[in-house]
Amino acid sequence: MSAISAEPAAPTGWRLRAADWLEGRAFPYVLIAPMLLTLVVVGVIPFLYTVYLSLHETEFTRVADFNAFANFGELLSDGKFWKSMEVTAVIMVIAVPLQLFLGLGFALLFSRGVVGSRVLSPALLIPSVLAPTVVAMVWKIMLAPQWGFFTHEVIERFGILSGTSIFSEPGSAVAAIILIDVWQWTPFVTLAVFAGLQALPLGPYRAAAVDGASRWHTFRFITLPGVYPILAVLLLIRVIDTFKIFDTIYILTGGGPNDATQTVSVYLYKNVFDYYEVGLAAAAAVVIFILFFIVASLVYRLFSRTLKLF
Amino acid sequence: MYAVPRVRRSWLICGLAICISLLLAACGGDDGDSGGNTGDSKVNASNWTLKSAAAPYKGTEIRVLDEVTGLQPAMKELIPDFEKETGIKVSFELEPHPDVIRKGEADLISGRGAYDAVMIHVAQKGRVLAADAVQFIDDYYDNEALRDPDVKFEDFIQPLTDNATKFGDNRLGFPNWNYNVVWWGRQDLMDDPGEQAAFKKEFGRDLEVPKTLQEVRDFAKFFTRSKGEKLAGKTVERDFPGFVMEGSQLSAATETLDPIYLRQFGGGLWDEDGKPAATSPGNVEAMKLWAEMWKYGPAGQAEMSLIDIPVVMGEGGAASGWIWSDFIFPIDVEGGSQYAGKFVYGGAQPNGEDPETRSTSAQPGTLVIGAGSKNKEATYLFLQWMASKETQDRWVESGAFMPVRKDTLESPAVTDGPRANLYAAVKESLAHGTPWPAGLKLYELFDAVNRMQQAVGQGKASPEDGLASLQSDMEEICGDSCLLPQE
Repeated sequence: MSAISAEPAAPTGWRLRAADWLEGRAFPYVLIAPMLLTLVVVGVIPFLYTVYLSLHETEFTRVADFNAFANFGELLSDGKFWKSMEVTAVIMVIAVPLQLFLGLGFALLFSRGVVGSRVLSPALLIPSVLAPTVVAMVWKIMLAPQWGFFTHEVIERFGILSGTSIFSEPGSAVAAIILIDVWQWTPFVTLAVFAGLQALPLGPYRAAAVDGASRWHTFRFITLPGVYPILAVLLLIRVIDTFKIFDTIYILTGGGPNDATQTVSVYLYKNVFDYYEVGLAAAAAVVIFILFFIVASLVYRLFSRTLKLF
Repeated sequence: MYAVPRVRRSWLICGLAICISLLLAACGGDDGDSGGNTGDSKVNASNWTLKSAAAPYKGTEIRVLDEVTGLQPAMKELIPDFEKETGIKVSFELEPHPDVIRKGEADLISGRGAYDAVMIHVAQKGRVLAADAVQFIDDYYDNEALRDPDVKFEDFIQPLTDNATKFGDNRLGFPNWNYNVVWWGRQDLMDDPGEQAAFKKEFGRDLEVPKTLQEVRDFAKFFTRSKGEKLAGKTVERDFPGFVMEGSQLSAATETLDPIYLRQFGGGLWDEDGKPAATSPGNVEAMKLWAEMWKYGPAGQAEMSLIDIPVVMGEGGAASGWIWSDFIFPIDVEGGSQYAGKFVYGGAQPNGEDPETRSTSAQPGTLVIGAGSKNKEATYLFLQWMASKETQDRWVESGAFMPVRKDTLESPAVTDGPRANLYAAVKESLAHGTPWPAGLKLYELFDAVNRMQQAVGQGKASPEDGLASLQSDMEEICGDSCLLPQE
């Protein structure tokens, strides 16, 4: 009768080396492989395909001849593209600082224990967690000409806009889009900064109190530097997000009146889905990516060198 | 002795499994049935029944993408009967207007064939044709095994149907939804004796449904009131517009502007060869009237699209306007709005100065079979069933329908039913409807026209300047011709 081994046979030869390799240096990479593969499939491959499309003539969704940089030439000579960049920049330059400024202000108020802040804090998240289409519908109900609640109760009652409506005029339409973006995202900034404020150490504040520092100096030299990292991250997130603003505008104005609210995202969408200028839209996407890359790198370097962040 | 720890081994197996799953998902796709049946050769015109024609396709599942308006839900209710009779399963998906255009057209043009049939508006015709994305139905229509001998194109409302569904000698499909524009006004205001007397005094005729575009203007002008003025004996609390129409950049305003105004004044966006012709004298005259009509509109007309018009009228916010007739169903129905039952309708009116140019906006929606469909014959049978007299008659019984067949126009529901007034207006609009020809870049043109109509309407450009700017845009978009060659 032969003896039965309780242990499985140990790997030998190439199997041993492979197991060794997997157990050694390769192990961390194997663990992150699924995530990396996902990133490659959903991020890198589509981007490379976009670059490929941007270098080709397209007929509807079909790729035709290689045309080098013709799409880029057409894009950069398209007045509508530059107009959309301008509109996006205006919204971004006004909305993002407002969100950061107001968010910081509200967070400071909350951190001082304003009455009802515990109830308000979770409620603050509501605008930020709403789907952009829902946000658009909420504001449509508020600002629609004739039947909008705000239009009827405020604008008409006090004769603020006579003979026209908010989304009929370029200036007021852009202002309303900025207002809606600020309404939606200031609470998120507030909560993020508020969380940052809670994490600040108390020691410097005690020292400042002992030294007789004023409230302004305490804020200027202790609080603000303490929340710089989170403000920097929020700035980046909001700049990127605002650059992508689409749903709200598309539902409320469709880019009008007269292209006044046509941001880059709306321009891209129209070129792909309304006009089927896929090559041109791909070129625009590549240009925007390069622009983002440059801006993000500059912001990163700025913060890391001057503020010693990251 | 060497052994891989059990925990690490599990991690490795999980990681590899996820990688393989992702790869499979990325590459995946079941090609499914390749189709290719051409019907049962024993079935012909003399013994044709839907059941026998569908026998070879029993068990087939087809996917159809359609638009959701007031019309389609009633048709959807009838589909189980088709499924029961044929054994063909129909997945009938309804999406809102913008989504059915983008989602459906993307599927057609890409050739993926996720949908066997997709509803297209006439304005999409040129694009899907240029992309070879549609299966013409001629082969099926000529195939005795598939063709219902009782479904004939001459039985549909003509020449609208031919203009909308033909391209050269080929057919795209059957007309399914005859979308059309009608005029609507407030009957309760028209019934007011004080308003009747004042109207007669001002215009020298009775206050009734306008018969010409000029009378439409007079009606709008008459009922436009400022805050504090009287309307039907009551003081208005806010400015009251006499007319409301679409004006936003994303609207279908072009689909009213071109057929009802430009073409009726002898103009149009292009000439007979499709060459941009925005600056024609007729267009200038038409835009002058358009600009005048804008003055009688609500303050925010430049941001109003087709969904706003019924809301404004349903809330009593205007005296009259243009409306896509299928948008009336949810508004002019008990409980639909406070003014339900108080509306009166008229076919989109002719130009009183040149009635011979009569043209209105009627844009039939057509369910087309995608070139990428793998179930073309089964899909054809379904579309043919939808267009058949029997199905159309049953649809009429639902109360929310839009005639596509001539015989439906004579049915009691149209001539004597509770919506007889609406259907009389619809019948008139359909008789003079001029659907879009096949143009490659119509949506780019619509964008340009919408910018122009906003500028002219808001007084930011004169009709001449606005049209000159449009001409320049059109030449850039279309080149020499805006139309698709039919050869």
